[in-house]
Amino acid sequence: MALSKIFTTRFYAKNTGFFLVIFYFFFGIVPGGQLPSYHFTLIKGFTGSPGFLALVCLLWLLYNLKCIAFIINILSTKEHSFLYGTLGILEGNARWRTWIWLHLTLYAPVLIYSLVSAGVALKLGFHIAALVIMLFSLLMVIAPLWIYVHKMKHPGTVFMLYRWQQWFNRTIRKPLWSFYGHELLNNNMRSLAIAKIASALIIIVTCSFMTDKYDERVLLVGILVCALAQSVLVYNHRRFDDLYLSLLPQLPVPLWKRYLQMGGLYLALIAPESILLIYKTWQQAAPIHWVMLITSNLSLLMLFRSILYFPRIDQDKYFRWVLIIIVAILFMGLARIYWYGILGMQALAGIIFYNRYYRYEAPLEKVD
Amino acid sequence: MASHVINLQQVVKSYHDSVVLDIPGLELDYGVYWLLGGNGAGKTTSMKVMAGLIPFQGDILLDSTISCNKQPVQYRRYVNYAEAEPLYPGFITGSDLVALYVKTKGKGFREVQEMIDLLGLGSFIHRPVSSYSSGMLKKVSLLLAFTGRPKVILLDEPLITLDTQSLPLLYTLVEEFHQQYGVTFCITSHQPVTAGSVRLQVQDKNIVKI
Repeated sequence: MALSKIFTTRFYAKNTGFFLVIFYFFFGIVPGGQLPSYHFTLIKGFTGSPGFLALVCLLWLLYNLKCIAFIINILSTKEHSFLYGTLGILEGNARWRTWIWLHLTLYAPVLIYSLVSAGVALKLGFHIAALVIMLFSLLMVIAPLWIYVHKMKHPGTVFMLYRWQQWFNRTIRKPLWSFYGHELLNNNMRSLAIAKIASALIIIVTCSFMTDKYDERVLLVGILVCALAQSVLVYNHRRFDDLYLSLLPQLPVPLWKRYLQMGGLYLALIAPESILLIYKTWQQAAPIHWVMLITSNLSLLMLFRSILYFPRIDQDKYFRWVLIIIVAILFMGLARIYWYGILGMQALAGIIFYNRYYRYEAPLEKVD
Repeated sequence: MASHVINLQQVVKSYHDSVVLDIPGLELDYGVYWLLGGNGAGKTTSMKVMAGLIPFQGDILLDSTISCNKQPVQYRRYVNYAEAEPLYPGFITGSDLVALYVKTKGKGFREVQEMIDLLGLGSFIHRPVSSYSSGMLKKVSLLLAFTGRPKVILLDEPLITLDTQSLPLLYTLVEEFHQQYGVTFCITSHQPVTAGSVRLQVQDKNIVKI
């Protein structure tokens, strides 16, 4: 009971949002009556294709890694060190039974679905796919047990990932411009993932509008919506700088370099949707249009960040300005004067940055 | 007339409409200064203003030639600052910070590795700062303040959270950088850092010599 509270209940409580999204995609997007046929088609699809099955197994593996990481993290916290003196002294079958039960309570959603899939595959005559799923599921249940038992025997053991991280820290120096990128990857993965998934969907939907006739202005509209989706990340960038990088203005770095560093960061940030855009319009778009679309996206983000150097720009004012800028660029784009829009945004962002950088002061509540 | 190392001219610092610092003029020559003042008197604000970290009205001249407002990059090359309670992103390592400071501030009076060893940072410098104690963070921030070839080093409460073994080390470093490399120090602390330090006090929003 205590172990359920420590591991199982906390796991599902912590990942409620994740499970709600998964639940919606699996049971919420089709009417109740069509659910069996929907899942039957889905299972038939991935058990009938080796490539698709490999992709599904990869997703199951990722979920399993999530479960393992959760248990290991719990075991690594100070407040749960008592588990080494309790769970750690179990021996023989009792030990394996406890760990298998704990792991199954976390891995159950995937295990149940994979066993159902194996059954469907057998019924459809996909015997190899069924065997692969069974063996894969067995591996997913058994392999983590050794990790848990090893962890219990070696409480202070440095894991491979940590060793790799140590090597990385010794060898690679993080450049100044990449700090916010690291922050997003380390502590704000959810916001980054939401913004990137939203951008990818926007690009896919926008490109689907152009099956008959190519028009770069349609793509520009998609890019403007992408920029809107990223604007939250830009707002959080200021918060991060205010809280953790108050040392930055003290460094003897010329303003032009700081401005370019900001551009470099945002260029890296918009790289996934830029690559997707090029991939989706490879046959239709002219390279100059790609340059235009990417620089439009980049200039928008740089202008958004520069606006945040004005005093007393709160969330409401910021998003008001974001919308005004996007609408202005939308009209310029429709009139095909997008290059003027890019030049205007860069000029404005540069002037604001140049004049406001050293005059900016974090709001008092953030300093506190 | 010999030029002052640092010269504050008509410096006014306000938060919204409330003036917290109003310094008509303050000239500091080569030396070690000990800035006193009660809690909330404005010591940290004074240090941040002198470091060019926060905006203010007026100007600060370094060696009578380098203006904090007009030549911000040069000014920041020669004025280093260590915060009282440093805060850095958790994923960053001490070595990332040192590399950043060495890259921007340039070659120092002493080899940075030598300073790392001297302060006993070698064992944890490659670890993310999220795993540091407040004393370890303090040591890293002090090391950063001694990078480059500064003319002025501002240390805000350098003694808090430091262990007793590190205190004499800090006193020695201050003496060495002052005597050998001609660095002027301005230090806020509740106890004197060096015997010959000149006392300054934040009084009625102004800084006066006492």
